[in-house]
Amino acid sequence: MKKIFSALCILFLNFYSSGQGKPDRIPNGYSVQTINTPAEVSFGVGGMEFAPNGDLYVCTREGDVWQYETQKKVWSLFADGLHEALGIWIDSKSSTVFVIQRGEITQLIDSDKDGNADFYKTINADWGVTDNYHEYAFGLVRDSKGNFYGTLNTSLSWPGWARSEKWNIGRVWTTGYPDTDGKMGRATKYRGWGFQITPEGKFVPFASGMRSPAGIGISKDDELFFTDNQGDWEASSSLHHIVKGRFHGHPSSLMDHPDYEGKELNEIPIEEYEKRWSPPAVWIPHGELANSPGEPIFDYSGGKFGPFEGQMFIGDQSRSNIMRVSLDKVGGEYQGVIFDFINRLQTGCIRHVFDKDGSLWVGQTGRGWGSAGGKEYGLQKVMWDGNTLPFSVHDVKLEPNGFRVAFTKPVNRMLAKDSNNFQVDRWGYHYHPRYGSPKVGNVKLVPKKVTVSKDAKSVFLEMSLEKNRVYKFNFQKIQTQENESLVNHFAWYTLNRLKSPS
Amino acid sequence: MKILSIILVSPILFLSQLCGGEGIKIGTLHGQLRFDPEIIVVKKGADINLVFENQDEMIHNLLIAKGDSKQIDKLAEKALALKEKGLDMGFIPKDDSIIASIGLVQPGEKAKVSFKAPNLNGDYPYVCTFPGHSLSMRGIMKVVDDPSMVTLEASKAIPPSGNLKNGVIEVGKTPRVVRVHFSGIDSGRSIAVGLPGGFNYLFDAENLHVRTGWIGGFINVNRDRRGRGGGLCSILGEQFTSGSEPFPIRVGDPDEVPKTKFLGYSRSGNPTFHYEVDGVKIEQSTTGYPYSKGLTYTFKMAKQKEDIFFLFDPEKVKLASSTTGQVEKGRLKVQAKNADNFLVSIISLPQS
Repeated sequence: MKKIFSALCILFLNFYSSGQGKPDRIPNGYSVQTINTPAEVSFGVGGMEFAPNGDLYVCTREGDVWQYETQKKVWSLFADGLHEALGIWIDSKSSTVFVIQRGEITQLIDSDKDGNADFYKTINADWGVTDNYHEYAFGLVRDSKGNFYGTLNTSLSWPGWARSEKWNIGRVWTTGYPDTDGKMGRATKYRGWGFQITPEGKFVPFASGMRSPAGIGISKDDELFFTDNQGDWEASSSLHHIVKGRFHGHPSSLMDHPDYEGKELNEIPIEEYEKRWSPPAVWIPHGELANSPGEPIFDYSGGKFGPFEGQMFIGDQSRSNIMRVSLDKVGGEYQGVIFDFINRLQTGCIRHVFDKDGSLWVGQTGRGWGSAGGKEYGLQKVMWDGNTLPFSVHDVKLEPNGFRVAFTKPVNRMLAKDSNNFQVDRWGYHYHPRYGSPKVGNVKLVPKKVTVSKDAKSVFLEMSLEKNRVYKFNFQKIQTQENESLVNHFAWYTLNRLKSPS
Repeated sequence: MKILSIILVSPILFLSQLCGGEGIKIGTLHGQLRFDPEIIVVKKGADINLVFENQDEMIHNLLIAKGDSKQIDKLAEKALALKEKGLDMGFIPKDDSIIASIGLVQPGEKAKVSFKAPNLNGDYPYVCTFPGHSLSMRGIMKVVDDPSMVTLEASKAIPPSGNLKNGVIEVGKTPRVVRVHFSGIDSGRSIAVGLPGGFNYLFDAENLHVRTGWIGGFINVNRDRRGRGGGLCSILGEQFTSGSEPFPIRVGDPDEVPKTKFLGYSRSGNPTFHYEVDGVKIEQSTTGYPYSKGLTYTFKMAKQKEDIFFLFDPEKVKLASSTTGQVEKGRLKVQAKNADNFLVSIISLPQS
């Protein structure tokens, strides 16, 4: 009995150590620091941005905006009473603070410079919002021309639980599928849209078909991306490239599309939606890698955050992990590969920002959907030591007849030239109104031929290719020439388009 | 240790007792990561037909095991360790402690399992081991000789709900301004204002008027700050009608619904709301009307060319005073030359 008890104690300790100490999986050279948030304050992070003076501003689900002097480690309240602020943007010259809350984009003005915002200026409030609790407004990014972008969640369509009488509007299940309650809908205008606010303050509906678009990110070339969550019409969690006019898959938003004015969306055959649909640039296999992805952020640290300059990082609210994406432009469109990066941090990761030293700050909330780790909220910082090169798959790029896999270090040639050391799973997904999709057409593949590059830092896997498929690579057997193994040995490549020989 | 003892009276439980058979139903609470009920009682050694009905919008499973909460932690970790195999296995790990299990049940669907209740009386935990759910999705199956003799007690593991004491926001020496949704007030853009001294009101930033006033405590935001958030908040204190309809300020023509735009609010001193009505920029601040259920509005705008109207419902409020203008059928008409700065006080009439 005593033995059993001590065994349980050890398990118990392990459980906690994995949550609060070093993550189970983190590449060599990286470390995690936990930042103390204001004492006694519920601090569900909704957005983070650095001001030009180096102060961090954090807006929260509880409606506060907190300012953090990173050197002195002092928090002060800058604004409060906002309605679930889920995004923030700060002008790098003027230090002007903008937040997005349920009902509007707001400029927070501290006119007497006493450290508290005293005017809450409405920049735009032209989208609909009801008392339906799921009508989140996510953001906030701004392009080089001064346009803001954000994304609007669909309305929850579940009688009794939307906390609103407006639950049964805009649910789309289309012909041939059963009408079940678990659909998201559109209780008011522009739910399920990504929008643009011009520098003049005009609201422009920008892209439709979003379901729970919890994170939006922008590249230095003004390319926009958002993440969505698995659900009705969404086969899996996903990363999408936003282009004006694009339809991302969830049809409720089409109620506000001029092409569908006055039309009954449930009488339109699914084929029409599918034809209009732009599949995600990168599938984030649900339950396998992430359940509720948050904000995508590009690493422009100039190498201060390790060897992944230009790649994208995404946190997940359920699994509390950080993922890494390398995009691959094929036939003019983005697709690409996603890896696990850190698994896991203390609780759900939803917002990210790089500081000037190239450290990645991770804003966390574990409230509402169950986050691994179990903490209700938090703030952590991921740092690279500037020296240790981790052994990682750097990227996977498509070629006309296979994949080129680049590693951060030269690999053991004996291991790398054996095609049996590269196990590949391939599958697709349904596009349908049901909640999520099983894997479709799942097959196991082994490369026909493997070629190791001269410097042993990349391998070419020749293999049969099929479009609209996810390729999952297992590189577990690949090691460096010093017998170092990969910390994260899986890679998921979304192949939407084949590459034509140039 | 019982942190909180609570007697749960479950209709499902009674049903199972009355029918004599051991049909048990466990559901899920929508959006809360909780089972419903969180405690069930079965007869020792009985044949149990358990139906698991998932009313949530997320996928869940159900697993009943021998052991205590640490054993549940262990099972949850084992389920997590299944990784990509987890989906196929319903996140049900292999473990000798498991008495019965139901794999992943899609939202809105249900599944059944039949099993024999343990022959040993005691508490047997149940849990959802879908990654991330196990901390809050837990319950207890009590195994007893005679279920009808049991008084149900459960220590309810309610996740912490933040720093506010039960969600109550109080007003101190300075005004509070908080965006909220209130039950029964249909505006997605409502802003609650609490003034020192106990007068409070709700400004509707979509329809540009004060929806209601109340005296006493300010607000409870507990339902907005726990779980998924966005829950309807409640007014603390004695509510009274503002007798106001949308867009009470009219420019020139009182019968024309104006074109409007909300511009924001100032929090220097008494909160002031800024908005535009037919191109006229207006600033509105509000205070309580002393010793009554009433409010005083101050309106400021630039010098006007057209008369300004303030509309109110004379069946709900009386116009207690105004610094200018004439009252006519629920309308206060303010001459253009006097409209740049005027005060209007309304008092709520007793409602039948």
